[in-house]
Amino acid sequence: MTESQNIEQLLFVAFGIVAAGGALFAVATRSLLRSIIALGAFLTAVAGEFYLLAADFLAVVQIFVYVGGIVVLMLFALMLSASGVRHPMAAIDRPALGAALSYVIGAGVLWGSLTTDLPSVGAGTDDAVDALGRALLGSQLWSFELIGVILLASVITALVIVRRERR
Amino acid sequence: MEMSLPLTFAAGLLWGAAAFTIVGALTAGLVLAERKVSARIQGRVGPMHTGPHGALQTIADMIKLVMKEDVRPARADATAFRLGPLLVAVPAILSLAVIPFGAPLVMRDLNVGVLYFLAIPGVTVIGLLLAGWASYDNYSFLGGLRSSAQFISYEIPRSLTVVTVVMLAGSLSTVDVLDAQATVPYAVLLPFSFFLYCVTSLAEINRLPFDMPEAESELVAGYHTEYSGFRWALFFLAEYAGFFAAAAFGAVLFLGGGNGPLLPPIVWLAVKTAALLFIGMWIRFTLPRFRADQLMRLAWKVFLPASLANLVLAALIMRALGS
Repeated sequence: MTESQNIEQLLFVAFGIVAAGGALFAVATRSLLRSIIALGAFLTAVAGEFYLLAADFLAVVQIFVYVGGIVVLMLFALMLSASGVRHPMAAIDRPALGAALSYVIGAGVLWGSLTTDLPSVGAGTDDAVDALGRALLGSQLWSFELIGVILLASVITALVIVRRERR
Repeated sequence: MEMSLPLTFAAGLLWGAAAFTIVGALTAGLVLAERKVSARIQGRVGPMHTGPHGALQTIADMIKLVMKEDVRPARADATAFRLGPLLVAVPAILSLAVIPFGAPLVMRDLNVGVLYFLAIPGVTVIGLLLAGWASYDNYSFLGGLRSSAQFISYEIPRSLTVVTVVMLAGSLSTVDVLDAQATVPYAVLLPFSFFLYCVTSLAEINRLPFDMPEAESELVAGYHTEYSGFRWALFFLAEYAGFFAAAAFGAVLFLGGGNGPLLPPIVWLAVKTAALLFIGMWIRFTLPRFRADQLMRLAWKVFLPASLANLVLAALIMRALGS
């Protein structure tokens, strides 16, 4: 194993620690603001992992959509509703059901990641963007278009809800 | 190139320190240039006393800022208050990493460099929101909300405009985009894109006529009202680093960056960037400020449809050129 691979391994582990730490902190802290910031750190660290796995495009999109979009949206919601004092966990009616669902989903993800043949760090092709673009407009066209329709429907729904509240 | 682990990290630290120093020097130069340009436009002489023709004024200002007391409001959220300026300044400096300053002078030729440049400033918004929220002050809070709303709104038409360049170049790498303009710069092929890029960039980096978040007459100083000393300097640094990055990126995307006869690439890029920066300053001291609601209406009802139409137009141009 060469030195540069060593460094990549080390960075991979470091990002992993940040990601796991951020995720844990996000669910453990009582302050909603801190929880959101920890989530942002977690998502950024995952973007770092994507980059080390030679998925540059995915890494940048992760920053673009999740850190620059979703986290900002959450902060907006928090600040406009000014409910920073109350933790969202307090609003869950059936914590047992929630916990059970989380375990099932977590186990599913774990099973999937353990059985799938994942590429090793540093491996990957340079034209991953090209392949992804072709897949999105080729074999995966249906799911791509479907997601577009779902997003459009949610935008329209949001508009309808806002209008009803105004009347 | 193989290096031992500690050496690699030392090199990384050095790169980081160099980037920060360069951005600091750049900010000093830009602030001085801005003060001189504004003075010229307003019929004044600008700073004159420190150094020849006031050339050392911003250096003196920087020393003053670093030595100032760091005041934190008593009710401020300490962690978020500290995190805010960092999250604003770091992405602004990071975005310089993909700008090709000349053939070998690009820190990282990512094959998604253009997308990276558009994505990284998104992190800035988190910093703005945090700074405004943590200050525990109405002006800061409103300023933070306004500037992030503005940023998000203008990010969309700006990205859609840059897509036209990517379509024509057929690559997301900034170096490839530059190479594709070897004969004709994209400002000639896509004049409307160039115009849209300039206007939306001014809005995204919160400069006049789009500097609502800092509108002195209504919001004191927006999200950084409560900041002082070095933390305030970080906001300032981020603002000018963002201004420079937007101009340099515009020069690379539309004016052919370092391409040009005789002179070395870095000189050409500097000349083109300086021209864009000058236009930015010129606009700042010529046009009045928009109102917050006018600004948002402009983003969603004018720039978004215009950038979508521009995308179709670019596709038609591509078809006509037969590429």
